[in-house]
Amino acid sequence: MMSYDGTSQNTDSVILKFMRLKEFQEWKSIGLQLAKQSRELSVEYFSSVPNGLNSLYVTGHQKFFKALRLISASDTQKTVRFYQNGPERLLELNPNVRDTILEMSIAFSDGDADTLIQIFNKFIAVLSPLSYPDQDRISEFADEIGGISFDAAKAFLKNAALLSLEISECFLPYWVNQGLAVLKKNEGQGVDYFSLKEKQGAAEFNKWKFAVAYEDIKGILSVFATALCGKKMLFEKVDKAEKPNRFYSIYMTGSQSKVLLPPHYAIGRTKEENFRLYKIAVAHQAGYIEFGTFNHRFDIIWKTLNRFRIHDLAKDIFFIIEDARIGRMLKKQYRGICHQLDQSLFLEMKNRDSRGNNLLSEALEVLLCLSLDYWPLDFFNGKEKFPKIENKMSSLKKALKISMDGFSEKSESSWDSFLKAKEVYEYLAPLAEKNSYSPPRPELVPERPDLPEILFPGKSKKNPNEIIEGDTGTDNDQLMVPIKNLLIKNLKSANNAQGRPLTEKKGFQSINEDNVMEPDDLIAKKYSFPKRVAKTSGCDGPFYYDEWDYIHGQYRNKWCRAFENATAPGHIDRYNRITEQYRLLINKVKKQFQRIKPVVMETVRKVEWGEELDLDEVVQWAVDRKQKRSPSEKLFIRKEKRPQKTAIIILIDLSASTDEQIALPEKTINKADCACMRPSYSPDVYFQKNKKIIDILRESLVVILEALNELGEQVGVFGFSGQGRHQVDIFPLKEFTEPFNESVKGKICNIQPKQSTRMGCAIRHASGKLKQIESETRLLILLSDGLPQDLDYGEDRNSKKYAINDTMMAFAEARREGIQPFCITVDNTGNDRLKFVSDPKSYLLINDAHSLPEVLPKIVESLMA
Amino acid sequence: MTNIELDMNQYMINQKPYYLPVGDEVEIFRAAYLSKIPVILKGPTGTGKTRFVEYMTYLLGKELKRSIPLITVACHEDLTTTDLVGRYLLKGEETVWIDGPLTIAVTSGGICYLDEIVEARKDTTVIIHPLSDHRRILPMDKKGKIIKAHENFFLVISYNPGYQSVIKDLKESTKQRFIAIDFDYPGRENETQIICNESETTEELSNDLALLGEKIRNLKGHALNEGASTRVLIYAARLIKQGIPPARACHVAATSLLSEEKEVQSAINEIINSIFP
Ligand SMILES: Nc1ncnc2c1ncn2[C@@H]1O[C@H](COP(=O)(O)OP(=O)(O)O)[C@@H](O)[C@H]1O
Ligand SMILES: [Mg+2]
Repeated sequence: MMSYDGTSQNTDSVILKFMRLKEFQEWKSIGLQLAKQSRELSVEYFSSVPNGLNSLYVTGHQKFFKALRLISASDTQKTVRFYQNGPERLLELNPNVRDTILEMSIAFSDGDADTLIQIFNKFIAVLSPLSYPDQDRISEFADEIGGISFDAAKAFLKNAALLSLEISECFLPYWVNQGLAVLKKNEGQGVDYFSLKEKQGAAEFNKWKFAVAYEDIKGILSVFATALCGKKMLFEKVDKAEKPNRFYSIYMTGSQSKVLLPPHYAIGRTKEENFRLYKIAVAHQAGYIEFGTFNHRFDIIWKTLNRFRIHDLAKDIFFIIEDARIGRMLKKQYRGICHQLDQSLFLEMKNRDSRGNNLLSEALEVLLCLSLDYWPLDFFNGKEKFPKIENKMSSLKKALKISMDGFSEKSESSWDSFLKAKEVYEYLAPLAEKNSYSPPRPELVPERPDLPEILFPGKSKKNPNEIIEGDTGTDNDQLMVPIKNLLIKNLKSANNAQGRPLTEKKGFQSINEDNVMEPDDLIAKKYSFPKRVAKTSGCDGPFYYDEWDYIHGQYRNKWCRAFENATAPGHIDRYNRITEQYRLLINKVKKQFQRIKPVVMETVRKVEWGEELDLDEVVQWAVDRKQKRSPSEKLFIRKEKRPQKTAIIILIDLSASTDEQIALPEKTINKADCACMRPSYSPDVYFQKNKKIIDILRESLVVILEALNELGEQVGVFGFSGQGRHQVDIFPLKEFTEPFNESVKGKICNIQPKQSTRMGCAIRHASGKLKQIESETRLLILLSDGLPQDLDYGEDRNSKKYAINDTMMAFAEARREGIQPFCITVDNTGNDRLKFVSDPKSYLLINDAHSLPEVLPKIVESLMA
Repeated sequence: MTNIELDMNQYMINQKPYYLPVGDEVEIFRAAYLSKIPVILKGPTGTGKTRFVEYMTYLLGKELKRSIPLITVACHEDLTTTDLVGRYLLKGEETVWIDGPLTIAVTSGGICYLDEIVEARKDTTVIIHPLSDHRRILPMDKKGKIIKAHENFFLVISYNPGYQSVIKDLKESTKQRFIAIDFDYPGRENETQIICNESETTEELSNDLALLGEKIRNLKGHALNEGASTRVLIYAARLIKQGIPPARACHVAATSLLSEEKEVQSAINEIINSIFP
């Protein structure tokens, strides 16, 4: 804690530096109120700036003083303590949850100071040992549960550590939601649920503990499916409830090239059992292909089924029978699968939801059991299971039984299933009420062997993905982004008029000063803010990347989500203008590159002919001769030339700050001087109006690409920016495979300043690309205009340590992959910015932006050599 | 200068090798042999190319009622023309010429089988050019003479087009001197029979192994560079016969050598335990 001697005047100015006026007034007002009770304590209050207070965000300040105000109403001493210790304790938490924690402490305290402090401490104690994402999740759930019952939230928090340890992040919401449902019905039971006392709570806990998520196994299963059916299968995650493609079947249909799988399996008693359910589902769908469901006859079958009066019923019947055939074929072919298949089937049937209780659905259920040869109860005594049929339609049941009898032994192909389906249809169609058959599901669009996938009308709005990668996505900062961007835009003109370049930070702060929107409103809005920016067209992804958290010394799993976004090509004129301006430089660099065109000369020893004698071998030869051994004849050394392959990826920082103007070097008042400074530049380069960092980045890019193109190296160019970890935008300007053509040039013309810089994620994405290229040397060149900076890319807004550490880690990962990373930072402002804690071999800071087009090729050259 | 006497017996195949013809390869080979057209055996490793040559050597010998030597050379990067043609050795104060395998085949009228020819250096492969067209001659630079091939001399080479990179492909001028017989994995029924015969296990087990082979080969080009060869399946069968549990035997014989990727390994193990109860 820093203390300040003297009057409160000093503290004032310190606090004013980082706090808005409104909170500052609140700070003062609380202090004055204290003064009324105890002069001494008030002096203590006014003369100290607690550690960490300057690291909180605006909303953090608001909440903190709200809590402080509440405490000050009852206890002066505690007020001062809380003031002095609170902010520092808050820093132990993920920045995203700090506000929530303060809010909740206030809400749960019911206005009682002691309770507030107690709850606050409890929160910190529970949450601080957890990882940031876990803190996010747990606190959000606590908030939600606390909205209904405080006791339940307390019980939940008690188990927080256990929960985040045992239940995978993607399943925790399921467990919590179940609990919320219980809680809403009965508070007592709900509290027991969350304290894991109650049977259901514990059972659900076990269930989700062993659940298996699609994401975790899709890699294995995709290889497995390819092996089974001999072709590459696409996988798609489909929520059965949302997109059931057949009402009565156990399995989803998939298609010729696609396997549909549910987002998770949780009905098994162990992880193995749940995994096996996936495996069987995959084997079964691969079986459609292996055992000819989609063979050349499928077209006819499908067309005929569609001609039936109640064609959906016909299709369901067909697939019930066909599914059973596939199951039998699997068992016959794969002896090892028999047992697993039976077990999985048993689990599925046991957990099967009721499918309506009309006569027809019961009959279909009977058909399903008959065809699978699965009997929960003895068929003819199965009164409870099939009451309707038992009472009214036992003749039908018998008929079905007779019809299906012996079918399994005889059926060979999907055609047999089809014929049987026709027969069964005749029995069942009359049961359909009013001749209609409408299970609650979207209409089936026929899948055909040649269709790449089945299309369903009205594709689901909600991606079941959403709960998966540890997203709780309600940080206030994220809310700020759109507003912030708007502001930056608006403020830019104003600031430019004063000739003062606008930094990103300024724009951000101005929001607060201008009171555009009360943060309280923001919080009210946070629940309606879309958690994810919708995927737009021309956009690829998402790609998930870990991020290095140096504070906890561990990776945050799948923490960042990146998208690849298309860039529309701009006008090529601009490109040509640049090549004209830099013609001399480009030619120079080309020549330079040609000269160093990296060829590796391999020395081949011990050959029968060559330029030189291999002395060692000659000596050996003489020795051999003397010893009367037959000497080797391979006495020569030869040099063999081989062009070295280099792959280069260039990553360009497209953050908002690249919109800053470049300062003109003072000396260069006239063109003659300029020409002296850099003879290979056209002086026009310096005298472009409003020249910005982005322009110089573009120009450097053009120069290097022109030169590299001549060499025929493999080059990829990617821009990056984004806002927050959920939206890291990658802009492919040139993929490795893309030829260097007009379209690429156009895209380079069109690079624009965007938002923030989450470097680590972008580097990981680029390394991933580079890794796939076959090459002897792999270079990753990062062009940036400053430090990495992004929303919650750090423990607080003042610290860049987290971001730098993550960036360095991403570099280290790249090096491990055999990539040479290099970062060039253009520091336009001349500010004393933090330097990368990194070796000079991979980092260069240049102050004069105009030198970049010249420096970049030199760096590339030295790295290639 | 003396020639060292060679024991040609070592090149003779006296016992009938087991080979199961999969297509018309026997007929083609026989016809090529009789008309002296050199043959390329093309196909992935472990598909029976070597076995086939042995078998054909034996078979043709029986049919033509003469013993045909088979001289096999496993090619490698350092293989030079000297290694193939022959070299001078010192013996006492004398230099002795010793024939290389190619020369032995050329002079004795045997079948020369250059296994995995692309592994050899390109300048080495050129030596077979004059041998493999109508000239049928072998230039021996070291001795400064050219020898004409024996009328029964026959050249067979093998190569695996799959895993070599482009640089290592055969020269067009080399390829165009041969006819090609394609070898591929034998298909489940044939493979069952082969496994059964080679490992003396049950038909059922052999069938399961053949099925496993088929499934793993589906991954070729996707998750794997090479499928599991018949040879590998035979190894697994032999291990099983020695009492190793099938799943384990398959794992050690196939899974762990095919891929280093954990995910792929797990997937292959899932296939194994789908097949073996
Ligand atoms: N058609 C076949 N008939 C008999 N055995 C075969 C056949 N195909 C493969 N094999 C078996 O596979 C093994 C490997 O064959 P090999 O000839 O060494 O393969 P390659 O030379 O193609 O690498 C042999 O030991 C043999 O047992
Ligand atoms: Mg071989």
